[in-house]
Order: sequence, then structure tokens, then C-alpha cells
Amino acid sequence: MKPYLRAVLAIAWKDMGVWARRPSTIVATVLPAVGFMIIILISAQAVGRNPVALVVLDRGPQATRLAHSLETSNSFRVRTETPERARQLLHDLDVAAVITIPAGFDETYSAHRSDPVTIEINNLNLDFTNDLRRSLPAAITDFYAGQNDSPVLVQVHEHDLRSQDVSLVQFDLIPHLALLLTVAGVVNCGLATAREFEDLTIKELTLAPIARSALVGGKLLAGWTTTMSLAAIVLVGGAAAGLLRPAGWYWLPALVVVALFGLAAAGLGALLGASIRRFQPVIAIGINLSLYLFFLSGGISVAAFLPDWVQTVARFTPTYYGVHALQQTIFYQSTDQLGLDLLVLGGTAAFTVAAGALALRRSIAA
Amino acid sequence: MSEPAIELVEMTKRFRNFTAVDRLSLTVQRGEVFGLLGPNGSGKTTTVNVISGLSRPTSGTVRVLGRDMLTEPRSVRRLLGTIPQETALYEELSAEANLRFHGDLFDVPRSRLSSRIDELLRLVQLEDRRRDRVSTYSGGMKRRLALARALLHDPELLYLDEPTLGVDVQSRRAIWDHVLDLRTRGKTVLITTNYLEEASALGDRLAIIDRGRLVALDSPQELKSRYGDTVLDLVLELAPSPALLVRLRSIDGVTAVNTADGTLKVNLTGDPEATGRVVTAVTGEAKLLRINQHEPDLDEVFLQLTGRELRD
Ligand SMILES: Nc1ncnc2c1ncn2[C@@H]1O[C@H](COP(=O)(O)OP(=O)(O)OP(=O)(O)O)[C@@H](O)[C@H]1O
Ligand SMILES: [Mg+2]
Repeated sequence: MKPYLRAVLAIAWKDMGVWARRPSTIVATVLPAVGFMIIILISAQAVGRNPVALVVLDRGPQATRLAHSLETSNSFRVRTETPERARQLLHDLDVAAVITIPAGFDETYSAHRSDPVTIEINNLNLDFTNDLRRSLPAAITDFYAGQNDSPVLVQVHEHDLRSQDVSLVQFDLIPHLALLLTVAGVVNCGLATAREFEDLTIKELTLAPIARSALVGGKLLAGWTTTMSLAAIVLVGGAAAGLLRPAGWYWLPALVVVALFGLAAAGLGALLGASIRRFQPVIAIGINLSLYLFFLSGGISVAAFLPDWVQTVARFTPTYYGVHALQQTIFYQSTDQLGLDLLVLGGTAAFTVAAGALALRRSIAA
Repeated sequence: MSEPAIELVEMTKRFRNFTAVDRLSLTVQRGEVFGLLGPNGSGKTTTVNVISGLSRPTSGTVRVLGRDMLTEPRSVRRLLGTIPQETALYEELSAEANLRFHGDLFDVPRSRLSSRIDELLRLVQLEDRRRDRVSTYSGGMKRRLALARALLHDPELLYLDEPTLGVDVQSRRAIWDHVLDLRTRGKTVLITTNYLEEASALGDRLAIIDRGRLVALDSPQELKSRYGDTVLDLVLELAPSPALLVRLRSIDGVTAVNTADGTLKVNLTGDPEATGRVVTAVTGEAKLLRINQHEPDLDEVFLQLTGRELRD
């Protein structure tokens, strides 16, 4: 084996060995993503995202059941209102939509006539509307699925919705995967780099007759590999649980996105580690930075719901593009803007890797 | 091959406006064990960093094994073995993993690496702990492992920066034996220390530096006889009279006269006649009960050259 390659692999292997023997840092990298995922799971039960007004004009048993099914839906927060009050709320933008269960609901339902529920949507924000269009029928489907006397309707609804019915939790898995990738890359590579300075082991590397680029390459390789191994657990677990299942060749762009994501994060970690050179601040800054990137990419609340200025900032946040690309490829089998997303991610990876390498070289020379 | 192992000419290293090493010139010959001695903060580690190519001197020239450290540090590094002051061992890893990593970095042929690791672990007596994490090692074991690592790629020239810092007498002796063994095998060793005993036991020549400046350079024996005082302890029956003290101070070769706990302490220069003159003068005026002569001590030399105030 060429000495250069041997050195790169030795450094990567050594970093991974040290990483595996420090369970506390592994926990630190996994914790934020897991923590937020738990918050999402809990809050998805309690508070839906979109406030929606519900107007029930029928007192029949089916209408009541549908109302109940909507109220307990995970997809939105439902408040029952009078028609006048609902209209006012919609006008004032206090709710995103008004769902009206009409007076003759039970009757039409028994007659197996077409879906009589009307939805008035505030069309100001297209993403918002799309979200409702996605989640509202899902709730109504839930309702029909509970009926055993109308098999035809159930099948029709399920058939229509399958390809785009993405549950909230599933949808949120992506920003959380992104958070995990960011934290893991930044913290793993950041710590692996800072540790060399703080533990004073950097001399073992700088006294060796190896090229500086081999040192940088080995570090990035280790940071990237450890990050990918965490991502692999999420992807395989998500696929097994049926939460993440890109159809056909959409796996490929999804994996490329994940790989670029990890590389960009590792580069950022090397940059932080080599500039700060201290264990604790690297963890603190790395995790905080990752959280900002997470929020801007639509963690907790979908980016499109954020105020305009935040959305503008989000456009300059690489994670936003990564999350978008993953959601498109995994959930919608779509390559919508995939080129742009890949370009941004690739550019970010190239930039952070170069900056990380430079910072490391400078720290060593000092 | 006749080129010196290390050649420093007017080497200066400044950190911002603080001068850590000030126009240091010295030459270390091949096959020599050279001691670099100085109090804390005198610039020993800074000097080692410069001759390892880890840091660039602010000015001056640095040649190691005939090569310019500024232009071709990487080709020289292969021939250097270093125990850094901070040992630079990976504490999470085992001794064996540390050595294997070092072997990969220095491209020690794979076919030989395992047997070489066995050999060195045996040499420093760490075979039975080879799979344990270094974090569980004592200070002495860590230093010994650092020595094994420095020797792994069979270097020509070794830098040992305070190799016995914080180790017990047994480990210290073991490390000394290894250093002496290296000399018999024709290796060049530069050792920094602030233990004078160590410097004089190992070093063929010693350089004493203080505040980044060279203050003395010679063999341990020469340094002792040049800078060290012989001290005579004279125990008298009665306290010496002031007149006797005055007479003693006027004797040729006497540098200082003090009394402590009823003992008269007379410092002498290297003059071999001086002892006789002092004894004659004392016995003429008082009854001498006991006499004791201390040969010069490197500690004394050191303190005399570098002063007594604390450093750092
Ligand atoms: N990177 C640096 N930046 C600023 N000052 C430094 C740097 N490295 C060393 N110094 C200063 O240079 C001086 C010499 O330090 P050096 O480590 O060479 O001393 P030393 O002789 O090895 O001391 P010790 O016996 O404590 O190891 C010290 O005053 C130290 O504070
Ligand atoms: Mg030092």
C-alpha cells in the first residue's frame, strides 16, 4: 500500500477507535435528534400544527363521529365554532381553514353519496394549502376506514392518497435525520480534531513524515464514516418501520444527499475543531450551530410556515436544501429542484472541507 | 556522514514580542548524547520543536542530519524519534494500538511491524499490559511506552524531552539504561531535562540555557570544575573568632566563608592548594574536631549560572 493511503487509513481507523471508546460523545451526538423526535411525537398527539375551525351543522351519529375523528387528528388543531365565528377567524387568519360538516351529512352518508364535507381554505400560502390538502383527506380517510358498511368509499380514498399521504411524524423524520447528520458530523469531526490539540496528541501526527493532506483526509474520512454509520441506522430502521421508503431509484439521490450532508458536516466539524481546539466549546458550539440549521431547515415547524424573514434566511441555509431534497425523493418520488439541492449541498461540502483543511493546516503550523 | 547531527546557528524563536530562544548556536555530533539543561521556561521544548521542524525559527539556520529543517522537514522526520514532553499517547487506545498507529504513520514495513512491536514492548517491559488502555497506565509506564514508540521506526537521532518527568526511580533507571544502550549502538540522542543528576549521568556534553540563552556548554566534569565550588565543612570546638573569619576570607582560592550551626563553611575554587592553606590557618587558632570536603555539585553550578529566583 502507498504510504500516503496507509497514513490516511491509519488516521481514520485510529479516530474511529477513539470515537468508539468514548460512549459519552456518541450519546452527545445522538441525543439532540432523539430528543427533538420525542418532543415531536408527544406534541403531535397534543397540538396539531394547523389551526382549523370546525363547523358541525348535523347532530347525527355519523357527523359526530367524523367531528370526533377530526378533533383527534394528529394533523391539525381543531376548534369547533359557529359558522359566523369560523368565517371571522378565517378572515383574520386565525385559522387556516374552515371545515363544515353540513346539515344533511348523516343522510347523504347513508345514501352513499359523494363526500359532502366542505372545506374553505385560506389560500394565502400555497405550501400551507398543500399541507392541508394532504392532511385533511387523511383524517377523513381515517373516518371512513373505521366504517365496515361502505367498503367502496374506503378503497377509493386510500387509493387516491397513498402516494402522497405522509404522516406528520414521518415528514418530521427528515429534518431530524438532517439534525442527526449535522450534529454527528460536526461533533464527531470537531471533537476528533479538537481532542488532538487538547490531549496534546497532535505532535504524534505532526512529527510523522506524512503529508498534511493525509492528516486532513484521514480525519474527514473518520468523521464522515462515523456520521454515515449513524445515518445508516436511521435509514435502515426507518425503512424497516415503513417510515422511510423511497421507491425505486429514488434511493440513489437520497443516499447521495445523505453522503454530501455528512461530508459538509464533517468539514464544518474540522473547521470548528481546528479553530477552537478545545473539547467543551466544540461540543457546545457544534450542537448549537446544528440546532439553528435544524430550525431553519424546518425542524419542529415546516419552514414554509415561518415568518418571511426567517424563510429568507432559510434560503441561505444549506440544510434547508438537504431536507427539501430528502423529502422530495423519499416521500414524493420527485426530483423537483433536485439539481439545485445537490448543487447547494455539494458546494457546501466542498467549501467546509476546504475551510476545515485550511484551519487544520494553520493550527498545526502555529 | 561526518556532518554533525544537529547544527543550530544563531537560532532565535520569538512568540509575538517574547523571545523564547535567543540566538542559540550549538552543534551536536553524531553518536553523542547531548543534554540540554535549563530551568522551567528556559526554551528547551521550544528548541526541540524547532529542530523537529514543528515550528519555524524566527531567524537563524537549523540543520539536522545534514538537511535544512526549513526546506525539507519531511525527509528528516523519518529519521527522527521523539518523546515529546507531553508524551502524545492516545489514552483511549492500547499500547499495541498506539505502536501500530505509529508504525503506519512511519510506514514501517507491514511484514516486520508485529515483530518489531513485540520486541519493543518486551524492551520496555510492557508486554503483559499491551492490550490495556494507556489511560490505565502509570506515569512511568507511559514514558516507557513513549520511548518504545520513538524507537519503533529505528531512528538515527532521538529527541527526548524530559523523558523521566514524573516517573519513579525504577522507571527512571530503566529509561537511562535504554539511553546509554542507544549510545553504544551509535545513535545520537538529544535529551532535555531539569534534573542535573540525569544530565550528568547521561550526557557527554551539556548545554545550560537560561531565558533562551546559552550560558554554558561543556562536559559535566568540566562544568563542575569550572563553575562549581568545593565546599569545606569544618567543625570546631569553639565558635570561630571574627578575626579568623577575616583571615580565612583573605586566603587565595577562598570565595566565601560562612558559619552555620557551629560549622564553618568555606567555599573554594578549583585551586588544589587552597584546602591545605585553609586547614593550616584554622588549626593555628582553634581546635579542629572534624573536616568534610564536598566536591562541586551540578546543582550548585546550575544555580550559580541561572540564579535562584523561581521561573515560569
Ligand atoms: N506557543 C507559544 N506562544 C507563546 N509563548 C510560548 C509558546 N511556547 C512557549 N512559549 C514560552 O516560551 C518560553 C519557553 O518555553 P519552553 O516550553 O520552551 O520552556 P521549557 O524550557 O521547555 O520549560 P519546561 O522545563 O517547563 O518544559 C516560556 O516562557 C513559554 O511560556
Ligand atoms: Mg519543556
